Amino acid sequence: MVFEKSLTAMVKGIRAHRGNESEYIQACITEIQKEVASKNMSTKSMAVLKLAYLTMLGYDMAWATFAVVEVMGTNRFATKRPGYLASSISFTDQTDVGLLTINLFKKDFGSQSQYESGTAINCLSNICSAEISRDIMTDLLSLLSSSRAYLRKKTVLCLYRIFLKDPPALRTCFPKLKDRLGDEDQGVLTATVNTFLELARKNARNYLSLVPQLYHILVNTQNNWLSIKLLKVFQLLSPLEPRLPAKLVEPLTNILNTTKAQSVEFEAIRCVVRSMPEGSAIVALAIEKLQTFLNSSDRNLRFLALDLYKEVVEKFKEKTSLKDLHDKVLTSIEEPDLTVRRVALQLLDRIVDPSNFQEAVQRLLEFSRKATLNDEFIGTILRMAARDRYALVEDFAWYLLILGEISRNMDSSYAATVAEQFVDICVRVPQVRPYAVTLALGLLDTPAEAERDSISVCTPMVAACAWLLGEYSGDLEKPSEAAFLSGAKVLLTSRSIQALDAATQTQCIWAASKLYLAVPEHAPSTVAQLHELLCSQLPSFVRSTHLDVSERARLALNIANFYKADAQSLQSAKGLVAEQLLPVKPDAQAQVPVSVDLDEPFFVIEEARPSFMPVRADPTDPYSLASTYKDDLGFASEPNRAEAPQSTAQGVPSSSMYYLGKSDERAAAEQAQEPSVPEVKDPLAQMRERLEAQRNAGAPKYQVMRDDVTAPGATPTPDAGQVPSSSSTATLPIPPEKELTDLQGRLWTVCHRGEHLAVYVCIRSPNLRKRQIRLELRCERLCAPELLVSDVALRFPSAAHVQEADASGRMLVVGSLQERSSKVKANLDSAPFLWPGVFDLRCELEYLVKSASSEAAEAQSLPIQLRFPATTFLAPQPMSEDTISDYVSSKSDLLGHQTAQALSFEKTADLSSLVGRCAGLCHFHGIQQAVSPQSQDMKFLLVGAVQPPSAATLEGQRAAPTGALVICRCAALVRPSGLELRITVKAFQQ
Amino acid sequence: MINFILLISRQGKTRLKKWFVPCPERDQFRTIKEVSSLILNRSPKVCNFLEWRDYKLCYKRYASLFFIACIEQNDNELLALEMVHHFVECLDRYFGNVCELDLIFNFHKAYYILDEILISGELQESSKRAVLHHISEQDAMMQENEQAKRKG
Repeated sequence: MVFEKSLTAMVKGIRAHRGNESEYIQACITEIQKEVASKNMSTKSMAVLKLAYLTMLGYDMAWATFAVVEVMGTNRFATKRPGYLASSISFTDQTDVGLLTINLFKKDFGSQSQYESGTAINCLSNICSAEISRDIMTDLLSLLSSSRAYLRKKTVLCLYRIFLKDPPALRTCFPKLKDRLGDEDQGVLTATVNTFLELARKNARNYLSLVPQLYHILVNTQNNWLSIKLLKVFQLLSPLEPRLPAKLVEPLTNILNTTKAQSVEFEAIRCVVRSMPEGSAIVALAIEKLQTFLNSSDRNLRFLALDLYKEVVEKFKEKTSLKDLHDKVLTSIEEPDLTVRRVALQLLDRIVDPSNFQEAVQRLLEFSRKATLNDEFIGTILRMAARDRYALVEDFAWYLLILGEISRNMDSSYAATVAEQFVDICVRVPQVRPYAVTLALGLLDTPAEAERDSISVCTPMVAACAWLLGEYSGDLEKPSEAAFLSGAKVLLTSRSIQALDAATQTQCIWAASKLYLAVPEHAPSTVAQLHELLCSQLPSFVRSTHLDVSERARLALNIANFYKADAQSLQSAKGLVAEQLLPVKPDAQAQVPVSVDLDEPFFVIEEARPSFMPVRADPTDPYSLASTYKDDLGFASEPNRAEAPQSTAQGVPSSSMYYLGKSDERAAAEQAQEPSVPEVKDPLAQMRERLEAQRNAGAPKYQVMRDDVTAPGATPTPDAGQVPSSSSTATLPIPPEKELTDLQGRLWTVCHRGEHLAVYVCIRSPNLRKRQIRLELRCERLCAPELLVSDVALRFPSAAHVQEADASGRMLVVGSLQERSSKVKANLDSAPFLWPGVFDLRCELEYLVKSASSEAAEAQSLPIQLRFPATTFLAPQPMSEDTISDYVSSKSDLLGHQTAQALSFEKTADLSSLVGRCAGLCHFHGIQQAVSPQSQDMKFLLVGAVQPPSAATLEGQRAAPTGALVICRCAALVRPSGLELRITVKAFQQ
Repeated sequence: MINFILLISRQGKTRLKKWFVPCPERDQFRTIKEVSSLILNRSPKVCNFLEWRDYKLCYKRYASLFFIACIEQNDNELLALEMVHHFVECLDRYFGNVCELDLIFNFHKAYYILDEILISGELQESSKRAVLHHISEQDAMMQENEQAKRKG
């Protein structure tokens, strides 16, 4: 064999021919082709081995498959072994000579040498197909009970591959495979658990019967590999078997406390996180261990811990110490490692809350400035903010500024999202609009940097800013003449606008015309200037190559020509753009029924709900409020609507101690109107200053319109969180929480009026989640000026747990009581209040009295009663009319008690919103029932649920039956004399 | 379960590839290209795991070679690294201070050792001594065969 070349020689040759390797290799392959045809088996075997090497370099050896099978079939191990190697490298289950190997496998499985059989099993695991499996199953079964652990182990592992190809084989093998769980050899045992793990990943339920055996192994083993595999199996099984987690607590605690292998420890933590219920001690232990992983110096461990924390945060919301984690996550975001960073960003998304949101966003923004690939950061900011309709955002002005900053980045893939959010926030949060419009103007009106007449924000943002300017021009800072002019100028004259896409140009044109239409109302002196600007600039847009730009410009120009520079006629055009836009559900349009009658309005015009009536009260005597609180519901003040606002306007509102507005409103306004510095400045920097000023002046309260407008008649989507109501009823409009809180804040009652002082209390809505109720208390001095009253305290009964109270009770006044004390809050545990009835909480009022003449103070102690209205501790129970009638018919035993009351009023305009207000204040869920269309009568149903039972009880309190409801039926009958309201309350028998 | 093991040199040359799930040759090469460019471009200061398609890649660099194991999403990453290390140690003991050249000239030996450690993507032997014992026995068998042939 002169031409025969060893593997070493060939490899050397390839390395020597650097540069023209392929030529050399081609020569080698030609040689190999000859060698393969040789009769000498060792030559053939060497040729096959060389081919296997070349395969790795990317050369095809499919032509030699037959030779490989031949070599595999030789008798000698030395020639056979390369054949098996080559076949496991190059054959797959699709290789057509596969069937030829069946007899080889049969022969080698029965070999004297365990290594020949072992090599064959190795190869089988790679190339097995269903046909091969069917033919050699019996041989494999006998190998499973071979006397050699080496072969049993290989067979057990190989079987999983075979099951994948030939599923019926599993049924045949299962009993024997299960026996291997009792194998005395550790290796075989591990292998068997391994195979069952892979099988359980396909269908865990089938392997629940193995739990006792597996559990036994877990408790007894010290082997790390085995432990990890077992922990994996139990992760899969424990969700299916409710008794399992409790059984696992002990072995898992054991592993967590004793193991030294980090892989085992980590797997145990993972197992706990995935299978243990929240709140157990072992979860706390696991999280503690995870914490050390998170603080580890090994970045692999840090990454794994971070990754697992995602699951932890998802599953155990309360348990984790988020503050710590938050810092860690923020540092991980800075890591150069993209994998870690991505996980950290995902995690951050889940752990932010309003308190740390601002900080997180600032950090992300900083990183995004530093990093080259910054879209990920920006995407996270936007995603976090938009969650649950901006639930995390507390200061919208600040967030708009952030959006403005992001939009400076021209090529972000999130440009459109930024613009969308910008507009969306302004639509939903009316209070932020003044700031937003100024910001929008600033963004568009960037001072030309080095004569560069271009806009420094991304295109979608230009469109958004233009729209805001047009829509909310009324919110521009007064006097707004200059702003109107510069707004219109930047929208029309900036040359770069005409370089933008057609849709944006259209937006700008229309925004400018809207400014023009709004001018007479907000900046009457600039009508002429704006008119001229429009007439001079629009023609260039009319000549645009974009049809819709041209068309829109023409329309705008015609409007301008029609109304001229005449403020009077322009005033009449206001109606063109008067209607405010509301947040519309994205799919609202799709829900409009197709068969539309064009004569009918799309939306039923709803009467605007009258805004809350100011209380008719003399601000100089705030205590009269206490007795007139009924008026807050607007019953009495309705006819006197005209005079009511006047009376409040005359008095100086902020002088009243019950005045609820911001005392520094005026200061804020002054500050906001500071003349802007004339020098050229970055608009964002200016806006940042404004934000600071606004914050210093007391940040405005934002209210977000989180509900979308849907098409009328469209079926409510289930995610709207509404109770499906039968078609004839409508849920009563309960006023927003803020309005209710405002109302409640006025419901003060006198709970003590004695010789020296009076005590007033205001009871707020209980916090159902925290099970707390807040009281607000005030004192007033009633005694002669020569007496000194001091250190007033209220002592609550011990069962009513008061957070703020110390040993001497809740201090209302520390030191001497002047005219009136300031408001003092007390948070009571609401759990003991179970009975839905009027309840008097017995408290002790303690204070010191000292007359000017005498030295010693005299301690006074008086029993007083805090009266809680019957409805204080109800919870609104969202129900439909049908479910209520179900309840009434099925739970008649819980509705034994009935009271009725009739009231009459003068006519009032909007009864349903009034009843809604009452329902909101008394914690009822209200629905309005349908009545015949002819009558003007109205019917309402109000439902409230009683407190769930709790362990703590107060004197005079009893637990109400579980699930009991209080149902209130109101019927309003219109009589010529006025309105008659009949109220029937049904509740359980006392 | 391990899907495949790759040994890639710093220059991007494949030194060993072993698929435990059947995979056509063409896809194997595409995968090798993708995976090696991913891993060779990673800075040494980052962690040893990365997500790739639906799998996780766990890799470690030993001298000039990257050892890469592709595992499934719910496998234990640390275990995969330990397994790679186990393989490296076996190679090291077998060759005696192993270097890349050993693996180039004795690529089949590397495969034989791998076959003793892993089968169908699972670990079969965690003892280095046992692995080396099996290998040396088989080497001896080949020697005997050679000698018998020469005599015959």
